[in-house]
Amino acid sequence: MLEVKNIKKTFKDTVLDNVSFSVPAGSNIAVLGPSGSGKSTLLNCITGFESPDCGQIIVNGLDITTLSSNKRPLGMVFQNFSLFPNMTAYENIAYPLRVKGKDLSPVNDVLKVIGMEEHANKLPKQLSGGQQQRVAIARALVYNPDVILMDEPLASLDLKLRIRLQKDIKQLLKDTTVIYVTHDFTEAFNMCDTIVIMNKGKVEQIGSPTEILDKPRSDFVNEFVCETWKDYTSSIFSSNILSTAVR
Amino acid sequence: MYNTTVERYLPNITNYVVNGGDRIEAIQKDLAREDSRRAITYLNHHYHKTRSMFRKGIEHPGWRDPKFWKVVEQEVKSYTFANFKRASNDLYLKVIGRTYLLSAIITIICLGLAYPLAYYLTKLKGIASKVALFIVLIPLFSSFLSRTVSWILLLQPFDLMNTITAIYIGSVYIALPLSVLPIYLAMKNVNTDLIKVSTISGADKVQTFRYVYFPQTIKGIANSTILTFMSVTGYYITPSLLGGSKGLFVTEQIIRQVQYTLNWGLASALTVIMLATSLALFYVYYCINFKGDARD
Repeated sequence: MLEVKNIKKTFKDTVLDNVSFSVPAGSNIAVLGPSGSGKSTLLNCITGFESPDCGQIIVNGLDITTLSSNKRPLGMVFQNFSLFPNMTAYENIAYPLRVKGKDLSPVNDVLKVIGMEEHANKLPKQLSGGQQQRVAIARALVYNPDVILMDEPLASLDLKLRIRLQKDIKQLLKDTTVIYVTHDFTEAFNMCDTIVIMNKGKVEQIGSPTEILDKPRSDFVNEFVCETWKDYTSSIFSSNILSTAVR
Repeated sequence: MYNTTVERYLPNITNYVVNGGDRIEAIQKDLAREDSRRAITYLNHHYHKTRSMFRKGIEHPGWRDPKFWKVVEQEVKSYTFANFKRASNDLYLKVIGRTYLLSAIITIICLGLAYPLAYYLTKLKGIASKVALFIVLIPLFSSFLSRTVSWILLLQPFDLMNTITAIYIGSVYIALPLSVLPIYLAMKNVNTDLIKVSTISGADKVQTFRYVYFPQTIKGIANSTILTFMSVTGYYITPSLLGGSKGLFVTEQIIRQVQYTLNWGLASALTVIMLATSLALFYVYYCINFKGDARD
């Protein structure tokens, strides 16, 4: 379980203003908001790349607010996959275990789960976008972190692949605590049990996807959801992949 | 180029062109004439940079010796590998080997200094980064000679002149900006997300540097090594002014063959050997940067 309590962060302006929410163990929560809403800073505070001005971050009862990044029980998947270009798929997945001095045997199991056994010895540039993203997820999963953070993991892929991978990711992370940061409501809708909508550093609404669709608490939420929903449906129709989406 | 002026200033050469005979003797006679300076000026007009060569012919009696010109003619005309054979004797091989060794040492010292310096530069932000980069590049804006002469003034009080240490100091100072730039560029392009991934995966700073940061800068290090090494092997002014003309570098031997022993063929052979090395290194540089690396 992850708890974010009253996090505040100010650079020149206030970027995060009293942000609080909690993610129950094993559930997926999406942090949603337009660019500049504070999503990335929130993620950086959780991972320890930024330290919050005040507030607490607690994982399974352990206060990690002041813990250095490499000691936090977290895994992370980035938008642009961020695979180590000089390592093979196997070496990429094995990296967290290697640096922690742990046994590398789970790597083969994870490779099997993501269906990448044949590509284990390929370098990232020899893999397709979808395969790269699967390796990135496997690398975050392999050492069983308490929480996995995903920073717009599908944003750099085309719509068709995005829809396919959403299913894959959901399957892969079904029992894991996940914070899924995105600016795409439909992605959050498909992937997560709970959605946190942020605007200008503040939490606008927390609720299930249907709750947010049916009962938007502010004009901003209503507008934001309608906009992204509209973009999504129009792109589906224009790219003629409705059948894939429906399936 | 024939006209009446030619006949006036170069009567013997004209005669040789029309009637044949000994060409070397004709040149020698024309150079010995009282108004030979005009003849030289005329020749210089048509063949640039020949003035100084012919002037020496007037000022120094040795240059008037027909045997000398015969040797020059022979050296210039015949195609031969004899000079390469001469260049590959023990003496010159030793000099070439020493040049590479000294250049390698200078390159390694440069890399040792350039890597942390480039890293420091990438960590600076805003105007401080621009100013620091400008300070690193300043030496490139002044002449090679003045930079070396400045080191004479600096090293003299420490009794370091005419020593190998002086060559190291001077050469490292001159080559350093060249070493820093490729590494700086590589470090600027390091994907910071990878550093974050490594950290969040549990790696400490040393592990992140070793497995993630350093591999991303290897290309920059390779480029820096090649550029620095290639440039240092061609240094002449710095070793000869700071090292006291000990003939440590092959460039000094080449200059000796050109200026003093007039063995141009040998000088050319040594130059070609050095050029071949540079081209080989340039090919490596090309492969690294433009052919793509499987592990890139």
